Amino acid sequence: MTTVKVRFFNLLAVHAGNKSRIFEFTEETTVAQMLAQMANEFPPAFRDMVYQQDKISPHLRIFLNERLLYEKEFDTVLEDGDSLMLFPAIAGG
Amino acid sequence: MTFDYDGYAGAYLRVDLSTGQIQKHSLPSEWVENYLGGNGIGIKILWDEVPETANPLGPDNKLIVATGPLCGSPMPNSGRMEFIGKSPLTGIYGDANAGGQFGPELKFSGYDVIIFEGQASEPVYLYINNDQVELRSARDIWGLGTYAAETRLQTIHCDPALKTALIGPAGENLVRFAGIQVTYRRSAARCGLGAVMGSKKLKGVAVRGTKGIHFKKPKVLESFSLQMHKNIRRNEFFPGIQKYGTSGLVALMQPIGRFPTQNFRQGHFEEYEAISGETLREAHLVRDIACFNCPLGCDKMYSVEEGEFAGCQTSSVEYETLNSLGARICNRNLEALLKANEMCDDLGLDSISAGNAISFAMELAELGIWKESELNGLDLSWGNYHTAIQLLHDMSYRQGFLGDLLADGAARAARWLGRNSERYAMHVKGQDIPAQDGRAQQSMGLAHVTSSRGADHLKAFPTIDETGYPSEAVRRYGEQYLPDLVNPLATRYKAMLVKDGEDFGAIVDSSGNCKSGGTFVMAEIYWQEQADAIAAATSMDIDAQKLRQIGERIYNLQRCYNALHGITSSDDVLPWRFTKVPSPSGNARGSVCHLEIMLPEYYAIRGWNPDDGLPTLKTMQRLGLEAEYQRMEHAIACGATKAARMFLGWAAPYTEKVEEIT
Ligand code: SF4
Repeated sequence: MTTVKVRFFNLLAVHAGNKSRIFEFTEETTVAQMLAQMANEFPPAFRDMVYQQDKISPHLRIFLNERLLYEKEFDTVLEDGDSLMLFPAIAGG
Repeated sequence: MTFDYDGYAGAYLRVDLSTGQIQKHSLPSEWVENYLGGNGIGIKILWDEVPETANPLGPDNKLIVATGPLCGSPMPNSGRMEFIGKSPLTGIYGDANAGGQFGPELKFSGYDVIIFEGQASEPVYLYINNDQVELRSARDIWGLGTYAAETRLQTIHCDPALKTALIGPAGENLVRFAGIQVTYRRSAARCGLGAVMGSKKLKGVAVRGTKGIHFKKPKVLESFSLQMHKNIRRNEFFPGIQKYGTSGLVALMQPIGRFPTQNFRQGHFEEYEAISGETLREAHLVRDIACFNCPLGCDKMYSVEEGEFAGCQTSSVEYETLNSLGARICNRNLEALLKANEMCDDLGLDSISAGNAISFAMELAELGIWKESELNGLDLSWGNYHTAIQLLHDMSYRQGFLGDLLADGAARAARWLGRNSERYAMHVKGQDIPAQDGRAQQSMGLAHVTSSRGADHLKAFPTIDETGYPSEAVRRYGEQYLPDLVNPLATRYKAMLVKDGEDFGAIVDSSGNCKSGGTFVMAEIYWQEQADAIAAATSMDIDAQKLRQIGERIYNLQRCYNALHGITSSDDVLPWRFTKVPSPSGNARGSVCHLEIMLPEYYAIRGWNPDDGLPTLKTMQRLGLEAEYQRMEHAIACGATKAARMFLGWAAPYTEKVEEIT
């Protein structure tokens, strides 16, 4: 069993209806697969922030164990105890 | 003399506070053709009229209040304006920008620019009601906080729509990081220009204007503006930024590792959730508010209903303040933070510098550098928000040893104090470093040292490599710079990014647009759109290429002005924590800021001398600044710049490695 904690921020938390969720997987799961599962489970507004024309939105920001994930790393297989942080498009200072 | 262009009010005021004389002049066409407005006109006047020998707090310094051609126009985010002067905090070029309603109102009254010079013998304020312009006694409002002073002026003039720019007690008491507060509750905070007003006994400006502005092609401007409003609303960044404003960045900065904590020891705050934008909105939001003509409305009004700080009501609780009076001093009490924000706005303090002075003091306390007798019973333990609140008051009134010392800013306090305290003053050129750790985003480290007003994120405002936005990078610069350009930890191409941001930022600060609005993060009003809007508003013969040259001209002249004060490449340094201590935080873990790679590249791209970091003759000729180059060279050759440098007053940033306390 792989247990992963996901934290949602900004409007993603609003649309997910939650600030965080624990996900459990029995089979090998990648970051991209996990996003697909969330998009199925959560309301459409959440999906609209995560996907753009059926591809993972270039504006979604994913940190895996506090490390910024680039698009080519979205097929990283999640490991037990991993922690993810998800942000919609925000930037500035 | 007449003024040739639409889009501007076309006139400026020169107010001699020593004699009480007020002159109205046509705006010189040369100012707008070469410097556009706001920030650009400000440096032009400063260069021409405020010599390197001028004391920032003396009668020879000037305060320039300046708007730009898009300020007060139908364009989105068109409420921004500038204050410019020699900074009492850094001793060099200083500016501060504010939104709200004041800038447009000034233009509606018929003036683009006000130049304040001299020093009044008694407190005064400038009252403008269209053609009626008078200096009036401010004796009744001297000593008041900015909230009460604004209300009092609106009452005196029986005009609730009066717009003001005011200083609070901090400015009156010459706190070197005093800001200026404009209607409605927006701060022109940086560089201590509130103290310049205080030194001139100028409490503020109250303005009412009903004239409107004549645009060259109003229909074109209107439909173009409408399109820009639509584009901003459609931008992917719009919903998230509209909802939480800059406070929404607190959480994002944790995994990036860019959130200075405990005087920059860490780049993340374990207890960030207590002070995050999400928590703030959930617990304290009253309503969303916006500056003039802004579709975004990133500003919010908050209140505290219960507990020790019940009754507090405050707005513009920005990311920066949540850091400076939160994580930087290890304060996790959000209500105390809101109170501190309310106090900074009312007392007229720059919350970034105030927080940096307090975190400096707290670190010195931890290291046992203070003497017991100097603390006046204050407990300077990390996170003690009661002490922080007391110090905001004490600094504003220069009360007690600590309040008086810290009112000069961390960098000057360190110079005065000695005892190795300069190691813990986190600044560049006397300016307190904002909440942007350059180890987590290389471009930001470079931006701090190349900023013309000392440490600053907003001059270059590099955002596309914050967490990396390839599509935006491609749109602006093409494919060839990926992936390094958008990798926050890569150094390649960051010199280009910073230089381009500085030039564009100089234009945004001169046109009257907002950097938090549709220009940088949501760059819908980028070079081309700025040029199109300015052309429609003013009839100036302008295009993106010409704007680029104006931006470059402004930035180079600011650099030269600093050079008159002895600034060279040897001042383009970061404190040791950024270059010698690997970041302990998030995505930045293990990273230091590599200025040694980026800075030579930056000088080369700018056309600055690699040795002294100053613009070359060729660069200045290209920008039409040959006479300015000759003046700079002459000042260097005759030793005037060395003499001016001696009066800057701050201890240089400490750059050698120091062992961190663990
Ligand atoms: S984006 Fe924010 S700061 Fe800028 S004009 Fe709009 S409300 Fe004001």
